[in-house]
Amino acid sequence: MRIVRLVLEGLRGRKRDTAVLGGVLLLSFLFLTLSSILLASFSESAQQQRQALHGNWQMMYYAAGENAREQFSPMAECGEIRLVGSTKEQKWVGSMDEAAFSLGSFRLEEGRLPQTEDEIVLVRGRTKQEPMLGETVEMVYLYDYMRGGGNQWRTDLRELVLASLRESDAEDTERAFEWKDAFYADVQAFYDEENNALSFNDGGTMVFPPEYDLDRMLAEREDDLLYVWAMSFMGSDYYTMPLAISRVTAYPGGLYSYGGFLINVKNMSTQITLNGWGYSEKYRGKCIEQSQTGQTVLYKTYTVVGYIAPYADHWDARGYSMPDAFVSPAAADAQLAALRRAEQDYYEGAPRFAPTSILLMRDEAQLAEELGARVLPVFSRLQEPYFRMEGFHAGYEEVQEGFLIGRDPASGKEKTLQLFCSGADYYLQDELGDWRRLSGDPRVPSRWEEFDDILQPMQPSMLTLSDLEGGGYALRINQYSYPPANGAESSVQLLCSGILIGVAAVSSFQVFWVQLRRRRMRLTTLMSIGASDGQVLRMLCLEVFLLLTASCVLGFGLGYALAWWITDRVISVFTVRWYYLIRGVACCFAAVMISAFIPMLLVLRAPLTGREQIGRSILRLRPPKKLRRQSYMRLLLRQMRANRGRTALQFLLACLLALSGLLTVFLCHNAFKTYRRTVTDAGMPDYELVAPYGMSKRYHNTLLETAAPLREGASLVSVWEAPNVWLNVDAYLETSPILRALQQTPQAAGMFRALGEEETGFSVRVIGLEEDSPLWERLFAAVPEGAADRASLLSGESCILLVPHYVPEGSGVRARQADEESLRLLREDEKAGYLLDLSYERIFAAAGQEDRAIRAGDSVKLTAFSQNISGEMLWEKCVERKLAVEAVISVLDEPLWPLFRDRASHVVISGDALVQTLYPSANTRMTGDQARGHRLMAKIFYPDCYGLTRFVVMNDQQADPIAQDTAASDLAEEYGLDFLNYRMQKEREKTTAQRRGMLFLLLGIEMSLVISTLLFSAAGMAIEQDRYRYGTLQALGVSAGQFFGGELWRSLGISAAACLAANLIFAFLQLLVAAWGGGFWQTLMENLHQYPWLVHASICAAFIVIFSLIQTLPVLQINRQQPIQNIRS
Amino acid sequence: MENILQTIDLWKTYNPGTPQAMDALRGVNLCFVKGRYYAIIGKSGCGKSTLLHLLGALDTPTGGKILCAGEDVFARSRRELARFRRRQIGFVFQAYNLLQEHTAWENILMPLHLDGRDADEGYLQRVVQLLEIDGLKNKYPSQMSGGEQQRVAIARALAAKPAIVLADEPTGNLDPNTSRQTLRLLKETVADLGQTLILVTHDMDVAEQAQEQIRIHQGEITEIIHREG
Repeated sequence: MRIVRLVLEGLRGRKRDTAVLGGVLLLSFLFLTLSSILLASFSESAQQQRQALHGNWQMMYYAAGENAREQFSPMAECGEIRLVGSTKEQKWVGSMDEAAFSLGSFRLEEGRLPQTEDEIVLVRGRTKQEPMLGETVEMVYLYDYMRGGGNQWRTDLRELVLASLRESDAEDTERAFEWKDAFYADVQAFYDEENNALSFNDGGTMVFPPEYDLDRMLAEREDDLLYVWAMSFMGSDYYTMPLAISRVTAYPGGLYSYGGFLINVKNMSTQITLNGWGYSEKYRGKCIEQSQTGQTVLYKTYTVVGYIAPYADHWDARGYSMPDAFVSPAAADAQLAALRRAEQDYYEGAPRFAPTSILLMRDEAQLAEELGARVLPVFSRLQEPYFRMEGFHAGYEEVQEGFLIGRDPASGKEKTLQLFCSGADYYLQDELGDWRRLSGDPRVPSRWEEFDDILQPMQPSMLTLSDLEGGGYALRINQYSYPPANGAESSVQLLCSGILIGVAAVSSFQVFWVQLRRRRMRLTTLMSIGASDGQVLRMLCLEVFLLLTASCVLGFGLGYALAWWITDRVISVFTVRWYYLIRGVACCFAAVMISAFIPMLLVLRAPLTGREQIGRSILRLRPPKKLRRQSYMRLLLRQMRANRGRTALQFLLACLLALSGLLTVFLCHNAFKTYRRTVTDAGMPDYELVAPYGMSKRYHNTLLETAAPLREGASLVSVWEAPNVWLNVDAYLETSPILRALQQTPQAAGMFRALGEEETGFSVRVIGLEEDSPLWERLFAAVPEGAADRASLLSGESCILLVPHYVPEGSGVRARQADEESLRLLREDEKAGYLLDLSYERIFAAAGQEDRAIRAGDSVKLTAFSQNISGEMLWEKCVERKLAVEAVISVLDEPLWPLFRDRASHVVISGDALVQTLYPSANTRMTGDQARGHRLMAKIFYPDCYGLTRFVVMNDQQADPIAQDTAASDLAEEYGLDFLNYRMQKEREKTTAQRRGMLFLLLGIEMSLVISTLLFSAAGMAIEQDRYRYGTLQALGVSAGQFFGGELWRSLGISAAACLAANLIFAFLQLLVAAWGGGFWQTLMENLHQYPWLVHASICAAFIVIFSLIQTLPVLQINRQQPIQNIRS
Repeated sequence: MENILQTIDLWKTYNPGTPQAMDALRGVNLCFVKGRYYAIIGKSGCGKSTLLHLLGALDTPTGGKILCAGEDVFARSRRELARFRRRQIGFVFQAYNLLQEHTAWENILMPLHLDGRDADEGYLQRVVQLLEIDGLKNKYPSQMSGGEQQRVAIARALAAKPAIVLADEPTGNLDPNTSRQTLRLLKETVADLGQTLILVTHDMDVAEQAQEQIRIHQGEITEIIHREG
């Protein structure tokens, strides 16, 4: 205890020294705690935001079967969204449990969740009309079935109708199934019992007097209703209505028909629709056998009890349809029960509707990838075996040939057999060459037994996490909420802590060193009167330990409180990652103890005589050969040389201060890199509305008028596109480095194709602009004056070609590894542009070269392919066009959306007339419903035959974003357009960038404050140390002005040198990062793109001023003292 | 005879206005004549060093004046005071106060260089020879003994040919032989150059060698003894 008391008394006696060292340590612990908590809090806040927007779930299993939940619930918290059904407007309805509501981060905007069977909550913006709470909506559910052919249908239908007719005692029962000529107009009659009326689907309702019975009504319409019976049907508890059978109808082959006849047996709860191939009597037999689909229709009226905020756009649910409305679980159960009854009654032997769910899973204790690894094996086991059909092509007459791929029953290996298809007849050829007739599509499981001796279905292979990332599977990881850890955040944490600890260690060393030097006489006196080395060491260690402990506790407390205060005002999330914090504090503690130990050891080596040891720096000084007049500046320089350690430390701290400022600017700038790249440099709009066809001008103008509410607060640009167009590149393959390089990429198969004999085509985008499109001006700005014939361009006779510049490597194009984030959202063919060093941006032009294979004045040939399905045949048609090239542009100063979104090469821009020339169908109009149906049909049967019409919308600054969202969404709904909302993404990117920038700024300020404090303390100590010397110089007649001027010039010199050194280090770090990142110039240009050099210069200037102030302010204090006061000190 | 320095009712109080206030000098009135050798003597803490510091403008009085050639020294600006110290005063400190990072010769030339004047080589050579420090020119203070350092300090004080040389116990840190030698050299040099020497000591033997002895006790002049020779 004596030693403790001695130490405490010593600390009290040296108040100033104690305060200085304690202050430095306090600041270090304070900033260490503050930075750790702020980093963790910002990270947590960002994570919470992601989860609030994209859902809490880590894994999603889409279309999970009935028992799937049981399989997964032991591994994770599971929430289930049951898919109740799809409506005729192609909207999905589901029901969800409490766990799903929480895991999905659903937000109830209005009202409440449904509780009874008759209640529904809608997703805002997903239905055409949004009724008020308390109003009713009717949902018409369509359940489609696919089944095999055979005579079952006829029997079913016949029995159905006969049975029902028998019950109703209707006459002319036997006439029900005699149909002779199937080409009738589609007039369906529906009997409305309540109003005693017949409603017809071709429009109109006939209300009959109450005394008319149904037979009489039907007789009145006998001319156009062939066979109509009214039946009553008691089929479900939902509702019952009398049944009407309309006559046989048929649709001639066309875009929206499915060729054949249609029999509607319908009441208000069940509609059975049978489709078959049949056009006339001769096909009659076939038409029943080839029946492929069935449909059940359920009607249900709900009361709207609430609205949920839109969510599906923000989920990582690529390609999957999410519910647009939710009912209660009880309603879902009742719906399924009704469906089962309908199936039981009508579909004997038919497959049953298989209810599916969306399973949401999360395990808080694990990372998303860890949960994925655990869930994958179970998922793989649940997958159905399958066959693949490939290579189908038209054969002789109506025949199609292809291959069926499965598994050899003997060896278990993959096996391919030839498959033959004629209408609904399938034939499989075995190894011996014999053909085996199948009862229908071999992919239908019920038929597998027919050929399982020669071919069996393939078992789904065990998937890996990387398979899931590619998409295409029903199981996926929520990468939006839980992006793959890239180590960046922990690196930042480590970097900040490391720097703070380093600075704390260095500053403690410096302060302690100076203090011990001053106390050396006293310490040697102590040792000369008998204190052992160990005792002195223990005493000094205890001093440091007590100071460290007090500073640590105080610093931690103040840092904690400050972090609380800041987070409360900025992000409202307060998180402490105790492991990192304690680790940092412990490391700082240890580092300071170690750094303080070194001066202690040096003091112990001091001679006990107390004689001042000759400084090595002074011994190294050589007497000048020629004695020059000593100005005060020269005295200062000599003093600096004599105190090299101190001068070096001062310079080092100055460099650190300057560097911390410069790195803060850079890191803040870099925080916006992703935002710049994806938003501002790409010219990302707020919305894109895409029609899945080329819109006729007249209809386009009608749409623009309808879009008036949207356009009030935004600019709207229309772009026509023809996606499936091929540029003949035979003449350019040898001379174009870009084309040659693209041929070598993995995506080449999708980018090049044979156009005919010895002709090679390269897939290009064709963009058509209308005459007054604002994009023309931006394009012409990149073209020399008068070089382009505008009239020719507008008429679609010529084109402007966009060919990016490339970075050469050898004789080709340099390729570099693109970041995963960029690649994740791209199509396969789009990835090529990212993997190769291609760009339209001017900043990269200096390091790149132009591909001059195609030049202005050349003539290029475009070939467009369109498809048509007629009966069972797929026809391909091609249109060729020759175009003159008015100009080739490789650099665009302003971003041109959508051209900047990917680095597509060889984009053809012309008037919209060109698109209509290439795709004759690209000049049409469709209603919203037609467009929605067309989208599906075109995707399956007529891809790339109609082109696209894209509306690019950029909101004005003052526009209300929510109102604009609603206006755009409504427009998309009305016209059946695809609606891509980038506004949320832009906001998200911006917020992320701002947060990150703010964090770096905060850390930079912390660092600067700490280092400035250290510098000030060091300067003050240096002055204190030399005060005796200052007093002597004052006595020798050095004036205050000389003192101040000399110190000012010295500090300006040091700061300028430190600033230069910091800039050199900064430049070196940039070069290092660029070299490390791959693609040296590209990375360097990207990192320094739009770098705020003015701010950088201001920081340098501010540093010089601050440093000079720090160095000269203590001198002012000295100057105020009298010479003898300074000498006596 | 010409008064080179004169103090009028000179007061110096440390920590004025506090309970620890202490009057180091109380109304000191003195005249110093050019070319004479003065010794200020008194016990430790009597105020003799304080008086010397005030005479050398190393400190400022709490009250009273110091006139140099009829002008109030402390009425000047700080810059003029610094010039006064450079040109009129040569101060020898008890602890030598040499600049460690400069050689002996650089230390000696320091006042001239700070004043922007070239050295009078002949004069300085004479001073150096008188003080017997010729061989120490290129040595650093840490390479010299105490006596050598003190002699270098004396040479520095004389380098600018000041009118007044003030020495604060110049032999306080030296052994008796070295003290005698140093003092003799100081006296001879100053006499040779016709400068006024004001020396503070507590050693009676040293004081008796002076032409004027000024005794001071508790901040007040108690006796002034004149000696001819």
